[in-house]
Amino acid sequence: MRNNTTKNGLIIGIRNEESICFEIAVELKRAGYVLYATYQDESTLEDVARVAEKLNIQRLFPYDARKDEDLDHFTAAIKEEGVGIDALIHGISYSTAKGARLDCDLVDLSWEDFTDAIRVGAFSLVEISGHLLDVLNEEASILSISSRWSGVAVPGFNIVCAAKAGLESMIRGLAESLGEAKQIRVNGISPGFVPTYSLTKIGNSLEILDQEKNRSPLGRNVRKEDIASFAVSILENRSITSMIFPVDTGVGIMG
Amino acid sequence: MRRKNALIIGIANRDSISATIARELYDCGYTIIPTYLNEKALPHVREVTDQLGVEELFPFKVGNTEQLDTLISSLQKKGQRIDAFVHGIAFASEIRKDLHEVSWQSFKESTRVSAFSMVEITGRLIGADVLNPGSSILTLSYIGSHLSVEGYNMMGPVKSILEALVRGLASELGSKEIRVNAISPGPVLTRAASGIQGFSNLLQVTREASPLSRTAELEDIGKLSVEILANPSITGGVYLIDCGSSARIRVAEQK
Repeated sequence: MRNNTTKNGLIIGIRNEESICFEIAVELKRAGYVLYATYQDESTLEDVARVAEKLNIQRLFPYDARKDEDLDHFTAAIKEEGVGIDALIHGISYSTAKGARLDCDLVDLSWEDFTDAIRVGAFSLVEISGHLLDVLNEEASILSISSRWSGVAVPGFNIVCAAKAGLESMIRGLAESLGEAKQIRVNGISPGFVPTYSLTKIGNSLEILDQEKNRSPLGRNVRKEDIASFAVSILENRSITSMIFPVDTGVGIMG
Repeated sequence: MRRKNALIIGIANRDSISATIARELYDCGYTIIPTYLNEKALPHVREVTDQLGVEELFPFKVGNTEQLDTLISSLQKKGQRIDAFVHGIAFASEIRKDLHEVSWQSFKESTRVSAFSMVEITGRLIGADVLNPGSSILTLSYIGSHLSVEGYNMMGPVKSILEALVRGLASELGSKEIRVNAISPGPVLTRAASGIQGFSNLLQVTREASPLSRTAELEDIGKLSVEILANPSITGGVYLIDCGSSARIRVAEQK
């Protein structure tokens, strides 16, 4: 039986304790949400299971954004739980997908590589939201994690940039259709770089963080707990939808 | 713990966005230091501030150096230092004219009151050393800065200037650990808004443009304001809160 006073959160994108999604999960738990989460595959299960225990996550579902059967199984399994979802966090990035084509030029990519990136890094948000529409509560809230890269070119990683650009447009599109269907709000945050597994995939983490710090007018990097506090504030604000909000210690405004 | 102090410039009456932000800050433990425009406004401002434990209000009109001096010497005498400065003032004498009819005199005055005053006041607060490190500045903008909004006329360019000044101040004051941001709420019926031609239509059109079929609520605007003011990783941003209305172009059904 569904208890009307508990809120349920589903988090897609926890890799380990360093993940932004982990920090958001901590904040959601503090705000009283009961949590569910996914893991990519067996190779990441150990890390995610450890995290799940710390956060008292109710149940873990395997979900590799490339696999039709995973999508069907995991969304069906959630429906079987019989709970309504109030908050959906989408924090998977193509850069952490197995076999991701990173550090290579656009012209060297195949159509398959490209569609793989778009599906994992962007369209997964659409697929998950669509499959779960029945179990998303009225006035539920969806938050995805984007990046400043959606609006700039990053040689070697332009495939990720394209996925992020697509993701942000999908946020606006879903805000429209899910808003009209069930008063569901859909937003993105665009955090500055923080030390995560994902960051290690795009280069030397320490160097990248240092460069960011030097670009920031505040002279520092974003703190994960600030990203999480902001994320939950956006999730719960009933007047915000269709937005992509930076939380980046000002790095994005510097010319 | 030391109580934090918030300087609020822009309360006209209980419907003001600045009044809502003051209430939220008060609820979060801030001491509220408000200004009022003139004797005529005072009873309406008091109606708000009496609820917020305010004993002293300061008269302030943009450009009046003595009034600002009085405010600052009072802060210094009491040993009060500012942690949050809310800038919520705007004025445009020729708001009802089309842009091409607006006089330079009116545009200049509007730019001073609605935009540059943020720089002037901030500069004086820094010069008098009454801004705490870690303090945060928040101003109020509107999407008219990016889109030409019928009836908003000369205020569009003025808000564009204001938003550029937000980024400029953020870039220059970051090294002092001072953060500067704006929120950009959808239309709310305030005293200032009543000067805009066709405002009730604007509300209606905005409501219809929102996928949620609503306009932003004051309480939500207040909550976002406090999150942005308090979040150490956020600076230089302009945060739209408008129920998604500005992210969407509606195409009406052909009849």
